[in-house]
Amino acid sequence: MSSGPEKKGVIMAVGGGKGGVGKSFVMASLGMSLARQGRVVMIDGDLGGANLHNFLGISRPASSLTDFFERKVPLADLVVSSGIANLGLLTGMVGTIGAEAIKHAQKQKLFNQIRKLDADYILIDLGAGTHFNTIDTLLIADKMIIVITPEIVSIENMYNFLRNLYFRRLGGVLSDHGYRELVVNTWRDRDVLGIANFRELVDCLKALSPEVEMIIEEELRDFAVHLVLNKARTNQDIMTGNSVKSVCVKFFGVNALYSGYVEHDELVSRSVNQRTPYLTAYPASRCSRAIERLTVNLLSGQQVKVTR
Amino acid sequence: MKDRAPFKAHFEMLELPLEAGFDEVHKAWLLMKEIYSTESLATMSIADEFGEDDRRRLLGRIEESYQILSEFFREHQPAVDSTVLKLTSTITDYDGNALRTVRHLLHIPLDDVAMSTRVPRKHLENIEADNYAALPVAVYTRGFVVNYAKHLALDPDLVARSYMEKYRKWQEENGS
Repeated sequence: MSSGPEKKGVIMAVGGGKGGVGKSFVMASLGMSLARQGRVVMIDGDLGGANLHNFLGISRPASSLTDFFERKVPLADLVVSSGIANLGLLTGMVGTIGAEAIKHAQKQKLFNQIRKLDADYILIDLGAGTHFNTIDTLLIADKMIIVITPEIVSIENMYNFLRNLYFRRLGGVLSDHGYRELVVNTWRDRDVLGIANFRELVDCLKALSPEVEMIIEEELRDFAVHLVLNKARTNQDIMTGNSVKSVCVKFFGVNALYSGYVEHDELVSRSVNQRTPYLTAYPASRCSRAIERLTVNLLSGQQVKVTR
Repeated sequence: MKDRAPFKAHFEMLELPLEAGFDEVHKAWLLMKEIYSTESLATMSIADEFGEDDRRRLLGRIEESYQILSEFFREHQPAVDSTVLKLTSTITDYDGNALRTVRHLLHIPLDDVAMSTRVPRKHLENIEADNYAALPVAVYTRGFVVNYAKHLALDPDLVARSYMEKYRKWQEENGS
């Protein structure tokens, strides 16, 4: 996978689903938590509405990804201090350019420079929605994180996003092996082939030829998403994470890990308004401890333990 | 783990690694049943693709995997079971403490008992504590005790008879 001998930072990205589920809060807090054990660069990749800086308690930095795209400034030069030790921030832009407007070559250049950033952990906060540029960015991550809340709209969005994510990866992998358009064409002919859902599509592709099956098995073996359930209020909410994980595994055939949950806390928005990072303002709160557990789980691959 | 390879699909059905112990199998089975017995937030959003029949089929497969794995563990870990069995066969008089002891020996959390038997946890706690004052009238309490005993694979009649004897004695003494 890695092209050079240089030590690479672990890339973690959060994306998908619905706006307002708390992606930026979870990511900012995760970044702060990781900064206690290594050098972190956070990239606010929400190109339409960058707001990660708010969760870190600072004003919008002057330099942004706009400088990378429009003035060709190297990515590493755009990282600014967040005011928190070990935590650098590379902010997005607001209004000037959307994820849709980025050209393929620019995107590749961006990915290459992200991979080369000098940090132990590189965190990318992506906007909501299922645009393929968002999905492609998530796919470069070593840990793909999806944040959900215990609400039907968020869960439905997440399934939809997961389908798109896996679909795009599947198409990419098969394309790389010379099976260009195979996934798209098979899906287009789904009525003729009797494919009713996503799982059946994958099964049908595997049945096409032993080689295709092998490619899917080999290349997608490590494909895994990390689920984080935010705004949990009850034990049942916490359990919803287990259920969603199970559905991902059983129904979509996608390896999902329930990496953590974070309790609902009214103080999150208060800390944002007061320009104090939540983890600094309430280090001993349930939420802060949940973030710490999430950090450990993400790094170790452990999951939420069922306690009932 | 070699002897477990043929059971891979069943461990996977319960979303467990191949090296999982019976404790974990038991817990996962309860969890899977809970997830798929009723429509939940997680399954509602895919209801058009994952209907009532699919869910029932899946439950059947979960149950089958659990039965097969239970059988596997019975065969491969007879030591633990037989010790407990030998011990429980010597108990002829049950109070809450005895039930709790057996439960601990079997490594079954109280929450699991509550989930499987549908006896509210609060009542199970009171049964184990011999807290007769907090237990419901005899006919209900007896039912709870029977279910609890069954879950621990004890003789339900024997357990209920000796437990209820103490319960009635307390009632008489306390004039209710």
